[in-house]
Amino acid sequence: MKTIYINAMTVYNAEWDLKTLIPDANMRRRMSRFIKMGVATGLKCLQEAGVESPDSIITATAYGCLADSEKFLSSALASDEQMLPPTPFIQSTFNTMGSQIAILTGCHGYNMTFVDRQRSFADALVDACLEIGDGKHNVLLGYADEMTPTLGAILNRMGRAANNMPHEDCAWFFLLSDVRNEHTIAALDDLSLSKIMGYGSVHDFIAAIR
Amino acid sequence: MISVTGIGIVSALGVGVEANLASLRQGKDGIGKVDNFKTTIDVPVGELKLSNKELQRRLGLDEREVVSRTSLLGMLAAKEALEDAGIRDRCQVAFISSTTVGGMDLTPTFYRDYMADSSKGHLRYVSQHDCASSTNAIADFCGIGGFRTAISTACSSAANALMMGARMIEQGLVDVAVVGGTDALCAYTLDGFKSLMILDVEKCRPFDESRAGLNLGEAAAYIVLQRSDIASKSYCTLAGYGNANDAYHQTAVSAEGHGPRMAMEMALEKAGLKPADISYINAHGTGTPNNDASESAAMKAIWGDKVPSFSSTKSFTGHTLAAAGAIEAVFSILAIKHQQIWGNLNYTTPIAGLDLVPVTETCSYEVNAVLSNSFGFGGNCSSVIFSRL
Repeated sequence: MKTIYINAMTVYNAEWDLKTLIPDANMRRRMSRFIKMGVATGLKCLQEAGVESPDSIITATAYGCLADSEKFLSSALASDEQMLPPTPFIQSTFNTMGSQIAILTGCHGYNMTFVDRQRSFADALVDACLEIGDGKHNVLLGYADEMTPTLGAILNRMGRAANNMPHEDCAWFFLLSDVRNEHTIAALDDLSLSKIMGYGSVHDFIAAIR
Repeated sequence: MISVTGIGIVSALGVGVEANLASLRQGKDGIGKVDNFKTTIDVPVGELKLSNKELQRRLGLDEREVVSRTSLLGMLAAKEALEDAGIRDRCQVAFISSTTVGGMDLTPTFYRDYMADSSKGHLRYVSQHDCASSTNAIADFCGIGGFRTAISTACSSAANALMMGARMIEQGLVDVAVVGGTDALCAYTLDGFKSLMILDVEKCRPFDESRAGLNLGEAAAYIVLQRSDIASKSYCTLAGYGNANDAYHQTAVSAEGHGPRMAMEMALEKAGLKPADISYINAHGTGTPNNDASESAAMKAIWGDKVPSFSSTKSFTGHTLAAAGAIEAVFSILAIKHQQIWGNLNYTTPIAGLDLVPVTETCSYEVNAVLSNSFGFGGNCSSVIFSRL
C-alpha cells in the first residue's frame, strides 16, 4: 500500500460554535446530535487540513443514527403508523453524516459508509487506502457514534455480552493524503490489510499514529 | 480483470436463480399484499411468501431460534452463490454485505415492551438490531473466514459492496470476495416510505407518465467475484464501476441527474467502454416521479437520442433497498448469460417531454455489456458494468 499522510486529526468539541461551522440554519435544525457532531467534526477537520472539498468522503459508525431511529419507531408505535413526520426517518439512514458533508462541501466524489460495530473504523480505513491507491489525494475519513439512554440501558442489561459492543459518544475525523504538507502530523508507510484489521477501534489507530 | 463466478438470489420472485429467471421470462411480478407481519398500511409490496420458520427449516436451522429475516434471506442467497462458484475453501474469502434494515424487523418486538417499562423487552429481539449482526450471521453460516464488512449507503448499498470487493481484488488485498446485500421487508421501512408519501397504492409504474411512487420489496443477492486468472468459470466480468454524490439534497435527486450521470460516466471510463458499447441498462427506476425523471435526464445527457434498451426490474420485485443493487446485478448477469433483456412492467405512456420508452416485454437480445444503476438517499449514486467475456 502507498504511504499515507495524516494531514489533520480532529475530535468533536462541544464548545465549537456550530452556527459558524454549519451556517445553513435549516440543515442544522434537522440534524440530530449525532449528525451535528459528525458533520461539524468533518468540516472542522477539512478546515484544519486546508482542504475545501475532499476527493472522497468515507464515514464509519457502529450503530448510526440511534436517536432518530428511536424517535421514528416510537412515533410509529404510538400513532399506529398514522401521520408520521418523515424527518427522523430521513435522518436515520446510516449515510446521513457523509452525505450532509458532501452537500455542505459540494463534494461530488466517492462517498461511502461502513456500519460494522467495532470494525467500522478499520473497514473505512481500508477503503481510504483503496481510494489513495486509486490516485485520490484528499480523503476525509470519519467515525462517530452517539450514546443514548436506550443504548445504555440495553448494554447494561446485556452485561458481559456487551463487552465487545462499542458504547461511545464521539466523533473523530482524519484527512488522509498521498501528499505530505505543512499540516502533516503522521506518515503511515507500512500499512497492510492485516495491520489495519489489527486496529480494533479508532483509539487503537490514534495510539498508533501518536 | 474480475470475473463473476457465482450468483445467488432470493426475492419476491422466489428462492434461487432458477425461480427468479422463470418469473422474469414469464413477465410475472411478485407484487402483492403484506402477509408476513402486521401493519395498518395497505399498499402492494414485493414479499417472499415464506415465513421465517419456513426459511429456517430450509436452512436447517432450529426454528425456535430468533433470527432476523434480513439474515435468513442473506444466508439463502450467499449459500447459493458460493455453491454456484464451487468455493469450498472459504478461510480467506472476503464477505462484503450491505443492509439498511439490519435486524430492525425484530426491534419493535423489544421496543414495545421496553417503552412500557424500561426493565422489560427480550434482549434477543434487539441484539440483532445493527447492520454488522446480519453480516456476521451470514458469514458464520456460510463459513466465510476472511475480511468482512457491512456497508450502508441507503438504496445504493449493494452496488457499493460490489465496488468495494472489486477494488480490494484489483489492489491485491484479496483474491475472492462474496459481495451483495440483504434487506427484509419490515414495518420500519414501510412506515418510513409512507411518511415520505412515495409509496404507490397500486403496482409501481417505472418511467411511466402516471408513475406515483414505489412498491417496497425484500430480497437478498450475492455475487462471487474472483481474480480472472484464478477463476475456473465465469459468467462475465465486472468491467467497471462508479460512485459519485449528487450533493444536492438529502432525499431528492437534482433535476438534471448530475450524480447519476457522473456515476454512469465514471463506470464507463473505468470499463474503458464508449456509451454506445452498452447493450442494456438495468435502471434504478423506482417509480417515483423524481427518480425516474432525473435518471432519464442523466441517460439522455450521456446518450442523447440513442439511449440503449433499458428497463426497471423493480416492477417485478419492488424496491428492495440495500439489496436492489445486488439483485439487479444478478438480473444483469443473467441478461448476458441468456442473451435476454427483461421487461419494464406496467408501462403505457412516456414521460412528457422526455421521449424515452423502456423495453416493455422480456425478449431475446444481443447483450454484450450491461450497466446497472443504484441511487440512494443522501445523493449516493453508483453504477456498475458487466461485460461479456
